[in-house]
Amino acid sequence: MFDPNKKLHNDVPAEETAPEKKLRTPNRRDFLKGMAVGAGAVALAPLVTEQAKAVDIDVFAMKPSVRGEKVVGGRISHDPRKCAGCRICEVACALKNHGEVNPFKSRIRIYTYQPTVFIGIVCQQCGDRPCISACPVDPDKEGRKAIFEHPETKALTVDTERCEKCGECVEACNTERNGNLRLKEDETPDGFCLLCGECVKKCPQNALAVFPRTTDGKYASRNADVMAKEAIETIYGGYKTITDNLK
Amino acid sequence: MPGGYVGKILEVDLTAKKTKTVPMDMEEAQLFIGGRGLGAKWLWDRTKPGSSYLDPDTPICFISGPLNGLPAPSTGRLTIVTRSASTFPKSNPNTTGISHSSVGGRWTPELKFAGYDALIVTGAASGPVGIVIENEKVKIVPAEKYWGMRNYELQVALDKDIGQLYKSVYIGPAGENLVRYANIMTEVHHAAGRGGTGAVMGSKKLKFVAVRGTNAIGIHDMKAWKKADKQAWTELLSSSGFEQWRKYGTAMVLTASSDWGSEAVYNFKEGTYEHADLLSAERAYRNLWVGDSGCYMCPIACLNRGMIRTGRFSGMTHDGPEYEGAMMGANCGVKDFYGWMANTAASDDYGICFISMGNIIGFCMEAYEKGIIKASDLDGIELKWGDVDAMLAIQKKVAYGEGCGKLLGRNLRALVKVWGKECEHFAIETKGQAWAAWNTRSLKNYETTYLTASRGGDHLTGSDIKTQNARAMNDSLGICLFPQIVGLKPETIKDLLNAAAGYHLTMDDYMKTADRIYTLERSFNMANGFARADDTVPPRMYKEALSKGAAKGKILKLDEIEKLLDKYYADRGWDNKGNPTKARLEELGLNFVQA
Repeated sequence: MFDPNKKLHNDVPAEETAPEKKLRTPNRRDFLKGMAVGAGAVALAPLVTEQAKAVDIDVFAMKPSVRGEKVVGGRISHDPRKCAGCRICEVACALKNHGEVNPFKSRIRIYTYQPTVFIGIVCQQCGDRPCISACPVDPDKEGRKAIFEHPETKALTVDTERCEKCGECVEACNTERNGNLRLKEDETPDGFCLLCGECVKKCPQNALAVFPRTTDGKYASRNADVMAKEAIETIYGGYKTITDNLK
Repeated sequence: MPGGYVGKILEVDLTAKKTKTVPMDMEEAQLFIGGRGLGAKWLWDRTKPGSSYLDPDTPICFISGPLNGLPAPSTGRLTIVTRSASTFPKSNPNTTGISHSSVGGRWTPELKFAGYDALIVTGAASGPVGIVIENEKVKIVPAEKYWGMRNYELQVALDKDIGQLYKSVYIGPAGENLVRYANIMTEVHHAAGRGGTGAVMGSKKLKFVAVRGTNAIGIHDMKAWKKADKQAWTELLSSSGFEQWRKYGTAMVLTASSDWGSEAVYNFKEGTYEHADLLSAERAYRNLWVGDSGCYMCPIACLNRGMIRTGRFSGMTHDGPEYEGAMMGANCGVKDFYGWMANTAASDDYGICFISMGNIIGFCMEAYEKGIIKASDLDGIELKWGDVDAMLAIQKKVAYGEGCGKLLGRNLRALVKVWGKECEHFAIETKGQAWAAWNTRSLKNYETTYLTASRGGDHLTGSDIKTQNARAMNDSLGICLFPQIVGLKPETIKDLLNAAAGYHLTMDDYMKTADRIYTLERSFNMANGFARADDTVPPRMYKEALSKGAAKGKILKLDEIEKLLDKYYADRGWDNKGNPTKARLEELGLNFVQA
């Protein structure tokens, strides 16, 4: 039987698969201990660092999100107003999930549009999962196809051994959603997001965050061109650019 | 293959329309690291002394460094090395010196992901061409369609035609028309300025180079890398200036520099601008900027995305003012904030270096005010202080080489020659290169950078030998110098290099490598007719004291400059004529240079 825990990180080298250290969220006692030292800054310091790492806990332990709602799983959301297009997230993802410095393999991608906006495209964990619906592989005893929702993290996961390399899931993502799902060299799908939260942690601009996932990914998971058009209208208020002015 | 490098060089001959891949000489790479260092070596090997930058045989080298693309802070810098179009010796105006022009953006990592450490373009095409690189597939494609396009529309067209994931470097109309201070641009706002590299690219009829790669870059010692990398991020993110840099970028010193008396104001006449508050970063932050824009792997993101939302220029988008924008602002007496923005935006769009352009416009404004030139000399444009519309009109003429733009598109020395000796007093250049927006009279020893920079009047070279060496290494490694200004230590960068490439350099070796690079650049210039007489400051700096502000009365003294040069040459191991000595050359391993 397929063991989802074992297969969770498909391409990760051995040292990366070590179980994550459980993080302890600071409680009231820690806070009071900090206060006793006297300086407010000292008291706040552990809180801030723990909060930065809390993303891990949020996704994996399915605790209430920052917005206070009970969520199952989540999705990584990108804010074009904050993003500076530095691609740190791409490199972080490629390093963590593929163990190499190669943004091409990253599961999050930053597209640049003019007038300058950066659009981050990452699997939005659409609630209705058109990719899973498209998968022709027969479900196993647990009801899982070759591409399925991980029972613990509720993140999209691929079982490369059972995959028939037909590309149906990629086709579905391309036509119906943002198209981040793509075929690797061995023709199995890549670009699904394991919700490891590495990109969120590494983003220096706080442009990435974990949000509750939507029941239907149609809005959150539109393709980059459409998102860019909307972002430009929101940020710049239209398409009028320097090109128009100089004529 | 040691990590850091990917081990291949792509050579493109545009005359024969041939491309070939050659392996990288790793011994050479260890001596000269990459970027600026390897560029100097290759330029030395591939050009004859005294040749012209327009010669088709002159190579233009786009070189990455061993840190480019790796997950350390700000590793997106590309260095373009070629024969400069804007620095030339007094003895021979037909030849030019070396130009190393550095630019951020996201192009260089992409070149390395495609599997090349460097791209060397030689020859000249008969018609406009572009180069499209995707891993080992290299195509020379016709570019008639794009010829004449300004940078903004070119980027949009390339995104549409070639693909969103390709990154490109390109030239605008200024480069096509061989303006001697034309830039090579990438992603509209990132400019490889100061050397006139755009003119060299234009002379080869090369409009753009688009590249995309899907391979990985290796790291030699991952454990050592992780340690050094953590140290690097900690040093940078925990430094006190970091948030300030991120919020304002270099624009944060616009008003401060005016207060210190070190800004370029009214063509370097003054160091303090009475209207500095009109052209401030705070104003841009409130009224202009909509977000940050960072280069590859850069947490600082000193560029900003901005848009004018009021007045007759409303709708213009640009990366917002930065400190060197003062050349188009205070240096030209501009008071109109949005007009100033429009001018810097236009420079980027035409592909003109706005430092040189602002300097030349300031020079023309002063000449016009003094009655040396009339409006008829400028095709009827009345170039008064602060007239932003006249500035826009001049820029258009320069970019397209129309009328007076042909002359203005050359350099200050050409203008002095035509308009008379009396202009020499306020032509602010060194080695033909127009100065940037730091007015040295109020800054201690800052003139060193202008005096001794191998690319002429350059503010980034550094004002003492240690800084110059550290920055030469930055340009060679492909890491931006801003993290270093903010808080990243050269020692950490050395550790990163050792971990990535598997070297065992000590700090002495590291600085010696920089010395080697710097001395080779100097040797190149000396072989091309430069002499001590070229290491000068313009007469205004030692004849005219500042008359306003905190730095009132400050002036440079000629005898002190001579003393400073003597000491500098001695410290570098050069003789008192500025030639590297034979012993020094041998010590640095530059035996191929004939002293």
